[in-house]
Amino acid sequence: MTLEDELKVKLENPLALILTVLTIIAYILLFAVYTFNRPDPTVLNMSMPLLYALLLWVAIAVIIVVAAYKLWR
Amino acid sequence: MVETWQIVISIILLYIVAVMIISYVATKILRRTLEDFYILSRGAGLIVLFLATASTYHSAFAFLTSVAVFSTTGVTFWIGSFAWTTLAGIVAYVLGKRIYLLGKSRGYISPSDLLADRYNSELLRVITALVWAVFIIGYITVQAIGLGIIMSVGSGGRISYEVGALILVLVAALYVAMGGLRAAYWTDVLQGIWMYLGVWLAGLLIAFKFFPSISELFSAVREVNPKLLTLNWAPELLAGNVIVFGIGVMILPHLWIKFYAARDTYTIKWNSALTALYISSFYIPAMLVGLTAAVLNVKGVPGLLEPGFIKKLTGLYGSADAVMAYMIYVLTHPIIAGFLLAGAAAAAMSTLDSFLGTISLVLTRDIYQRVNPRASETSLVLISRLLIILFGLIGWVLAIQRPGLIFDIVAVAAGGGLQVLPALLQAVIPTRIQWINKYGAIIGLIVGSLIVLIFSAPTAKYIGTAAYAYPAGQASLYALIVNFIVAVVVSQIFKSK
Repeated sequence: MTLEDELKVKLENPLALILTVLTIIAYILLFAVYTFNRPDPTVLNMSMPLLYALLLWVAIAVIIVVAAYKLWR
Repeated sequence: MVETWQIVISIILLYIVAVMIISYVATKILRRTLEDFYILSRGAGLIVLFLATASTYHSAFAFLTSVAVFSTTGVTFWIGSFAWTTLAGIVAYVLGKRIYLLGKSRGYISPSDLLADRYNSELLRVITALVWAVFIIGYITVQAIGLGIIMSVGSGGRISYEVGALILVLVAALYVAMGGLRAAYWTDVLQGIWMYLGVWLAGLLIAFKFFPSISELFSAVREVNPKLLTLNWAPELLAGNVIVFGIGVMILPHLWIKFYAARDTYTIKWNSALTALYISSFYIPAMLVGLTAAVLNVKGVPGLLEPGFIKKLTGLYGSADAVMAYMIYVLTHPIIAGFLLAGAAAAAMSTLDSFLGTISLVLTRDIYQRVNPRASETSLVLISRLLIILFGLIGWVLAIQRPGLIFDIVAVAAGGGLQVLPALLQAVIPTRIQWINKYGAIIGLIVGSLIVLIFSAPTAKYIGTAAYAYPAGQASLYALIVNFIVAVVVSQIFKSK
């Protein structure tokens, strides 16, 4: 494989496509916070925006670790 | 009897001695070539590269200003920061791997080497170097601000902000001047571990000193100001900050050259993943301290913190950045306070050293070496060392003007760095159509950088455009959009001619 080939973005691998789409969706979902942006208590007295952001963080962290294990080389 | 400030300052001095010893050892094995001085002869393994990247990414911004912003805008900072820190990890792989491959294959040392070679333009090299030099000064300044605050608070006001900043800036400048970025990489390992342990210890000790559980902390925050538990940035500011701190910081030259330093692609990929986890989780304990500060700012702690102490600190230091350092000093045992404030110093110095090293590289390699192509490697290293000291002093002079909140200044610096993105994307990701050529890259970069300077609130007040200004993150996003459009349009026009 030439250097220029290595530089190209490739999404032929189904896992690459899935993780890319999931990552884009996760970052778009960040803006859903505005639809429930209230301080009302939920788990551990956290507000919904904070709890949601924590869950989204875990989801993105999992995607990154899976990508590093299975996809990135 | 030994006083608190004596214990705290002694521990900070011990930390400085440890850093100087490490850098001295690095100096002993330094080979006097630019490649070794700046990028470790491309031999950085995973642990060194990861801790150097993570600790360089996190600076006085992470240890000091994050707590200040948490205490005044609440969980808003977490909602933005988890997104930009994870994005930074993804960028470190997607762009970092390509930068590494090109750097290794073509022997690049400075970031501008890549752009100049890929676009076949020496003018682009010089313009990029100048743009970086302008914006990096802001980043150097905020580290000096942080160091001044740490020494001033840590000495109970006995060492002035100005003298404290000067001492630590000179320490960082000296060890980088002696051992090059090799010394910075090595010391970053110590600093990266120290600051991470420090922030978690500070978060847990301070929050649980006043609240028996996390649940009670959030309950107290809701009681004093429920707005602190909601997102308080407009969508365009949130988007701007995520792009600026997620992409802009990662492609600033001090992190860019770390991709060149990597040993192999295995190092690059795990460096990216581990960096994302490190820098994002760093803000959880910072949030605990920041929210605790918000509550104590209203209620006070008899004999320790008076209500409204954040406003008082803002009056003293020109911003709320001293909140973290002050709470550590007042609320923890002196030995722990010394350890934690040394951790804060580590956060600032690990970024400062990289910036000082990088700006000297950019100016030596991309400007001086063009003017004097026959300069020997030894003389280039000498020029680099002088520039390191000079820029350290420039940062200190600007810091003592107390220019404002670290968060705002970093947003301008990273927003300026972000303007290289259109040129970088086209350079490292081959496309069937060449959307951006050297003309578009140069004009887009200049236009984007000017928009950042003119329309960002922290700089607009000096230029006289404050009436039209936006928060820096937002202005930088608009600048990037205009930059992309200008770069593509100019490229197509010049291509057709």
